[in-house]
Amino acid sequence: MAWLHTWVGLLAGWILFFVFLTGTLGYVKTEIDMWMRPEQPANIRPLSVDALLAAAERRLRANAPDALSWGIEFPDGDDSELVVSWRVPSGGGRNVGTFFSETLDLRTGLPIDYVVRETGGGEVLYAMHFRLHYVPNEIGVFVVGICTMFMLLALMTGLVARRRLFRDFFMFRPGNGRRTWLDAHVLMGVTAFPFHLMIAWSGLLFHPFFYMPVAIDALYPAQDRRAFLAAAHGYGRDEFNVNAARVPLVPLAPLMAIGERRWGSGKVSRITVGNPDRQDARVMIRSHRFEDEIYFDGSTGALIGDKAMRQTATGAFVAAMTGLHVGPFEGPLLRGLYVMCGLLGTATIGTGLVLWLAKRKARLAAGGPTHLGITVVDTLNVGTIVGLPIGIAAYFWANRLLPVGMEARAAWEVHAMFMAWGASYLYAHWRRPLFAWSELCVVAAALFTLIPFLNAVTTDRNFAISVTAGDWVFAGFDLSAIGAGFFFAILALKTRCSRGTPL
Amino acid sequence: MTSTVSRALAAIVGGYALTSLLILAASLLLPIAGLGQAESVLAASTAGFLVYAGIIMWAYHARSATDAWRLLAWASLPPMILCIVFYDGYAR
Repeated sequence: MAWLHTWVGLLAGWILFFVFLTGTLGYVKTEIDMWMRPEQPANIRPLSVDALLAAAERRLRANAPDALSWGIEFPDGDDSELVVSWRVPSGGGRNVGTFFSETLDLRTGLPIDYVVRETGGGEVLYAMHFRLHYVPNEIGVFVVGICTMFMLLALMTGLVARRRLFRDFFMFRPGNGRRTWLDAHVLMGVTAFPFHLMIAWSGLLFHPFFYMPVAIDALYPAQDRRAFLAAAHGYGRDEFNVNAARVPLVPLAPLMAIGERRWGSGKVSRITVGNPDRQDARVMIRSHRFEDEIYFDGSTGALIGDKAMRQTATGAFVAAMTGLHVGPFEGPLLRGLYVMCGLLGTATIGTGLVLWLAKRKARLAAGGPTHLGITVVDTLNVGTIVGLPIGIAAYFWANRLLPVGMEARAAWEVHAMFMAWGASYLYAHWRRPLFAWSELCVVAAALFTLIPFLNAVTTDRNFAISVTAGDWVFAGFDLSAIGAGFFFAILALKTRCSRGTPL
Repeated sequence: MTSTVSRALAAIVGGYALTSLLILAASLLLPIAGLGQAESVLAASTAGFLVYAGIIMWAYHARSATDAWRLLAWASLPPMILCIVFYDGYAR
């Protein structure tokens, strides 16, 4: 089992390192989004929920009185915007249509009057962790799925390989070279073990039938899964009659109030109206981060039911697992814990990759030239473990440095990330991993440490201003960047000696 | 070398085939225990990932690659028979 753990870990390790780091950043993607859109006002005083709802309804009536559906997306967390969207008939089937949206300012309820730079934000960074980038979605999801399966296997074999887990857990032997790193690998892996197991399994449950299609293919026709989705999850759009009699939509405020009574004030995240102003109109009100939904008859205002009514027990279990994966919790403490566990996982994979190499190097040291495979793994290790953070730093730098009006700006931010990351591999190859470790760590340290200065000279929201204004998203980003820079500076010192790897 | 490849194939490919058979068999049997058809499919497929990981470890635990293949073949028989007996086209 130790053998299986070693090889499964190595084969999937580099991609899993990428998946874990970008996925961990996904837990703060709203904050990254805000940092990458510095034009958005910070710390605003929003209108009351009732006023916002009225403003949203006004915009929807003005924009699309004959829409197939309306959507009102309330701000999540510290977001400073509200999004209204609508679908209008596009000549196709009954429930298809063309989608439009508009962003409203929370202070006025009117369309925003500032221009935000084009950026992928934290959302693009986060999306990479499940569908990669530059490849079609299915291929990305497939590759990540295989690696996730490998991770599940690495976790289970890791558990078996370290049978004396409890003893090992309390055994940290510092200053002992490779043993210290092995102890660290085990300590971090074990500390967050339940989290990792949950992440691996639940990660696969986002697309269970993409990976395990046998039962659904045998029992439900591939071209029509609606019956299955309706029976297992209670999904399925209500069928509407676009020619139904005109009946004015009931006021939304009382329905929203029912949602707020149920979940607490400020906890309604979305209102969807199907077939507004028609006899068969439906209103769906969703709670914060997908936990619950309630449905109303749009012409009478009568409560029809809630999500629990539609969902099977297994469907609810799967939803709970995927929910745990996404981390739908509020409060900085729990989210901080999630980020912590994600970073621990990233570090567990990183130390595992380095350990694989150190063990084999030690074996080779006895005699003979270095094996080609060892050099390749060495290059990939340093290029991934230090190169990816360099790429992520480059992504943030590109956000501040690329001209605001630039064509395909968001795409170039990502290109900058992958170019910097790719250059790290080339550099590691050219300089030999021996020197590349500490030199690339210095680059990463510099790129991260300088982010607050970059932000200060390219925006009018420097650290002092952010702290004074109580803008903890910007201040926190600055502090996190310095923290990352500090981490790489220490790693640079640790790998400075000619031994190459941090061992 | 051959045995390494053979064992890896047994674990990954053979293990996947056995997992698929078990998922289908469970999807066909759970409704008899009173679960809805769609829910049975979801439950079986969801558990399938853990089962797959377990089978891979089992294949690596076997004494030899040949042993792993033999164990997998024997383990496939019961779910295969169940699938043949109980499968009756698309769910209605």
